[in-house]
Amino acid sequence: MSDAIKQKELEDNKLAGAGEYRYGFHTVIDEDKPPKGLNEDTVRLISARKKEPEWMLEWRLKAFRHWQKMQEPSWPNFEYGPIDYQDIYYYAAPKQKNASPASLAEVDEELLKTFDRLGIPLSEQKRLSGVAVDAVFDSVSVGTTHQGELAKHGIIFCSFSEAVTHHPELVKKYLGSVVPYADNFYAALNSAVFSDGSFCYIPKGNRCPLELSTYFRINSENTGQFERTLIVAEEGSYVSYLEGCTAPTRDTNQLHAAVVELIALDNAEIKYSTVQNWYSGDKEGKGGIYNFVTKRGKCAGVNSKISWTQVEAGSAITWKYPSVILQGDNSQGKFYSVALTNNRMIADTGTKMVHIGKNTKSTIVSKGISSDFAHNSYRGLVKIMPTADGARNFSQCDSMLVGNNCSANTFPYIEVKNNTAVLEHEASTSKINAEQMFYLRSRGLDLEESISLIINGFCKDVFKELPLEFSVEAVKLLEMKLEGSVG
Amino acid sequence: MMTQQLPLNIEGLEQYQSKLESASGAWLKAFRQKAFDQWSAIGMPTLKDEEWKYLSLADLVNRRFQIATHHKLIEDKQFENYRDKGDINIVLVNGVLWGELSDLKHLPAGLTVSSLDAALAHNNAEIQDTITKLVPNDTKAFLWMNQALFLDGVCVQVAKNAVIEPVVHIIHVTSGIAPETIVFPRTFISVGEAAQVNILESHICFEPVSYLSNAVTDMRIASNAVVAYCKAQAEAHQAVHVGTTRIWQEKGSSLDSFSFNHGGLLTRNNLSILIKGEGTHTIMNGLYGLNGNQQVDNHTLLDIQHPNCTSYQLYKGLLNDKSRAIFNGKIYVHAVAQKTNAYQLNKHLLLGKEARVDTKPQLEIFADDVKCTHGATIGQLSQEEIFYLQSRCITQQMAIQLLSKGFIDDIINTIKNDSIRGKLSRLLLKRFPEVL
Repeated sequence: MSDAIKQKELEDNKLAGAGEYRYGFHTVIDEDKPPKGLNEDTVRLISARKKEPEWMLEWRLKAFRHWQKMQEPSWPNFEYGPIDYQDIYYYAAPKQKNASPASLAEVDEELLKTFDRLGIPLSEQKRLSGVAVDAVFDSVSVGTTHQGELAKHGIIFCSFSEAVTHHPELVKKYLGSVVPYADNFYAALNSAVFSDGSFCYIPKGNRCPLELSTYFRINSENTGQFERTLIVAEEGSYVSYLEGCTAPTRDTNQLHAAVVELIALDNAEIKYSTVQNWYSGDKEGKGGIYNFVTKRGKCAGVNSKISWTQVEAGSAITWKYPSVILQGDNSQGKFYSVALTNNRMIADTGTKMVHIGKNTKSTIVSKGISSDFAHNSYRGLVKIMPTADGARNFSQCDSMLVGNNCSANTFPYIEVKNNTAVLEHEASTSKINAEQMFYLRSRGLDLEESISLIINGFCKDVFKELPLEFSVEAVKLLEMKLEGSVG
Repeated sequence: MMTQQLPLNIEGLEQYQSKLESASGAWLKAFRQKAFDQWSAIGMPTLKDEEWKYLSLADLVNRRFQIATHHKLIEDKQFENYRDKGDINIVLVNGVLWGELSDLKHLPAGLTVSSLDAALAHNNAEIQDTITKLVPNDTKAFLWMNQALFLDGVCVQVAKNAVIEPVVHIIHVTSGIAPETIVFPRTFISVGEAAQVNILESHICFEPVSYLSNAVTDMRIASNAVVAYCKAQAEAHQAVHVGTTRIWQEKGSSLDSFSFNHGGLLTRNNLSILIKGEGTHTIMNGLYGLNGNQQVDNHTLLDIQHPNCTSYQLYKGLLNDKSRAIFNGKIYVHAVAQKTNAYQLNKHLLLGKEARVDTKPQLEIFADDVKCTHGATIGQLSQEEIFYLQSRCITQQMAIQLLSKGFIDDIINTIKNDSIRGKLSRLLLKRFPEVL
């Protein structure tokens, strides 16, 4: 690590110590940024920049035409400023000296530095051995590590653009098969203008030797980020996938509307973990990312498993419901979530579990922590279709309120159309237990340490589902976020 | 205004309205007119309304209705069996108070019963104040329709410090109507400071006829009063019952409420309780035993606007055949309502192969020093429990009966009054002879 980066890291740590957002810096870099606005030409332009085949453009245009007919959803119990879809840059790519770097060594130093500063080392010699990273900067993927090693196992892990070029048959087959372009307003928008993302294909019987991960960075101002992730796990395969995200501190709201599709075939298992730390706006709620994301997995095969684990600590508004369609018999869906909101953040998150196959199982564990003026909602759906004999669901959603100006809501929808199903749902809302606090304080822990310890205990069920490195990071993130907001 | 399309198809509406108008005072006239305008403007709810997401009224909208004009009890043998001599029976036929059938002559001290029409004619400020101030809840359309078109009702008042020992049994009976009739049973209850009373409100019909009952009950509970209130719905098999119950609870009062749903093809209950004072205690229990094609939709709202309140809610459903239950329980805790303890539980036992449940327990909490939990379970009888009983020489049929009865008794036994509990048990037994 160069001295300059070290210096910057020290500054970042100082910021973090003061409870500020440490990833709020902005990288100065030349950009290829076509003008603002959204129309068919924008869609064509994005497609052309990415040198996409005709079928891809057709699909985008179909989505765009459908999106024009759709209405922005109005049902949430929060308000956000009107989004002017014509006032957004839909494509922003850092200009690189070498237009298509053949390897990471050829990627611009400024970009590598940015990711270094974010704690995501891309340069070959510094990489952690256990994780392969696809780094997405604004609208493009700047590099993917460990591709060679993964290729030896037949695993495809690349940016979405590369996948469209090199593996069109796979993309054609699975794109939109879980989240159709007409699914919802933001999914349709994403389908029309998505710029990049990650594609991952695990062949039959293969256990992916590395943790795969994508790191999303929004850098450019007034851009929307629309990435798309598609993971296909063939029969009997296994993959664990991580996702992280940050953005610079800005006064204006930025839109992030991603789509993630997971497909697990017979006996396959996908673990998807997210640590979301987009810029969440300042104390008065100015600025921050609108995180309106559609994530859905399909357990298409028998005995398949999909699990979503998320730590939502950023964004001005988080609005997402990672879901699982349990189609294969004996398939399992899991959802573990910690949503931490402070200042004026809003989180409306939860999951949908749709049981179609026989003996399908789902588990939902959701923990919401709300402080300052934040609103935290759990909204979930458990649906048992008539065909889902012997379905089983367990849901638990707990909320913790820190302070008297925040709110915690739960909206669990349970729809059962089969009498052999067994469901349990429980939810609680409370504040930090005064006796526990007193106990810790009497043992010499200070106020913040005590709160942090209690909150960690509260979220433990979720943290233990995260891969080790992420788990450590998540704990730290929570501590950092809560600092100064209590007491 | 009359030419515009009304939300429901009602024959002879204009005539009926002009009759209503000529018979009522200025306040009531204005009140009805306002409600009518609101009702015409809002229309009937559809599946797109969040509060009506699971209950379709399409069938209702396509039917042609008329409004009940005769108010006479026809079938009286079963009716006599239903009521108890020991209670104070107040009988309304098709929404009109029927003095001959009621025990109005020997009312205990502190209890006043009059027709709502008469009470409103005397410009009773308390009633006017309460029914205007109680916020409309999720059944706005039905509430406004009732306010616009109700003919009469009953007004029950319990004086300050009065303790009424016998059960006050308000019986809304539907009788002698042509098919496709609408009735508007309306009840107003006011319980004075520190008074105590047990109230049972029954909605019954012993004739096989199809009708719509649009019932509204408003209750104001003054400070420190203790009220047990049970609503028992045993309408005809073909009937549609939409009930709106709005309760206003003042400081230190205690309410033990029970909602019993039993008859009717399609039932929607909206129970909303407003907590308007500190330190109240509220119990909201409910039971629905359904079979055939019955549908029951229970929406409850507890709106806690003051600190130090407690509430317990347990709703249980026993679903046979193709029946369908919907539950939506909302607890809303305002920021000032610190030290609230609220518990909510919704349990279903699915006996029928095609039974269906949609449940949504919902918490909205804006205060931090609270303890709120909710839960929901859905399941069938445990095979292990049945096996255990069989291994003790109990037949399978008997084992199922025992377990189902256990499931129901758990909630029925929360009713403290013997007379009320007895009546509900008898109703259940009649409907589920093979199960219970």
